[in-house]
Amino acid sequence: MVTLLRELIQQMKDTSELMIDLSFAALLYRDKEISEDVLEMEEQMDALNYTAKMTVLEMAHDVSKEGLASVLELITATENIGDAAVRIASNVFRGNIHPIFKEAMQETEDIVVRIRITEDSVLDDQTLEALKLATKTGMHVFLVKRFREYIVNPVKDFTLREGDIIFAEGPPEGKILLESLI
Amino acid sequence: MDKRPEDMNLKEILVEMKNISELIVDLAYSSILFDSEAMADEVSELEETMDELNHQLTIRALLASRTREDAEQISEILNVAAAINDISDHAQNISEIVSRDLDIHSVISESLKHTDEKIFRTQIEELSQLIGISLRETQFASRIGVTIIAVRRGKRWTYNPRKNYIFQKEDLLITRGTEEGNLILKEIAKGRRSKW
Repeated sequence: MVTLLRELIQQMKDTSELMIDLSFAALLYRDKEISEDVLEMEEQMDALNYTAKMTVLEMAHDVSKEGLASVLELITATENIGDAAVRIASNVFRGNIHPIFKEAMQETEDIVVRIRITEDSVLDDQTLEALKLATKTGMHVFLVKRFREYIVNPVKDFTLREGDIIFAEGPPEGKILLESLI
Repeated sequence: MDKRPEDMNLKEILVEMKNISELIVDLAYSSILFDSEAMADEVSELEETMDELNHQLTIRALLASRTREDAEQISEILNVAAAINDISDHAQNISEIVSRDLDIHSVISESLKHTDEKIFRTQIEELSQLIGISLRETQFASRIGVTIIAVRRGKRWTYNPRKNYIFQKEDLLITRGTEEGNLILKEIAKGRRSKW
């Protein structure tokens, strides 16, 4: 049960950090799709939140009250961080971005791209390792969306399939290189 | 941060708030992982800075609004700033688990030890070879697998320092990397190791 809880907390932490990154990307590029991804991840967070809390409660008789309170607080705070990311991302639906805001968001050097793998893409049916995208384009794939599931930091032997949506981060030149591959 | 919040313009404040929000969550989790009050204190200080930035931003944003279109765009800035500010509040809730010195259940720290990459906090000491050289010259990322995500100099923070950033004595480095890499960095910062 401890292992399960550990995995749940780890996943919530990773998801919340990812949601912050993606919410800023959604805002900067006025990208409704990325914004919707953040909303969907929030649903995933809700489910994780519930399962994690239930798991903690099931452990109640084996651990101290203070320990339980700490874990519950951690879970709640992480969930709240996800909610804040959703509030950032939902501004995309409200119209034009203020020029100052756009400049401020662009201060970071790396950009995020979101690409759907099509049937005739050279990326289809390839592992991340074989593609060597990081070496070839400088873009690092940090997230893959398959159907309604989000795979955070996919492992090297992860095989991309038609319909997958990949999220990659890297320098602006990398985006052009990556798009030319597809 | 080279300026105080009251001397910054709207754009500078926003950049600073965004940078802090990205750093503070990492630091908060790390404070639990290492049961480190020092890191929890960094989180509290950043949170205070965030409050002040948010206050200054609100004032500037309200002053900048003249037309209805302005007002709509400004309200978006205020919404986002409020959400960023919330992130730092929640991060502080996480690090307070350490500050309150509660019996932290091993599950929490165990769960965070899982990742290969960790956040470390290292101070540059007097004899270190790092003093006076630039981030570019260190080649930390390629040589020891460590990325410097922020530097604290006195009370001032620099996030994602640029390649020409020159290190000084007593700089506090916040780094991300493998445990081995960070241990090497610690030796270098203490002046016990001169080649890497």
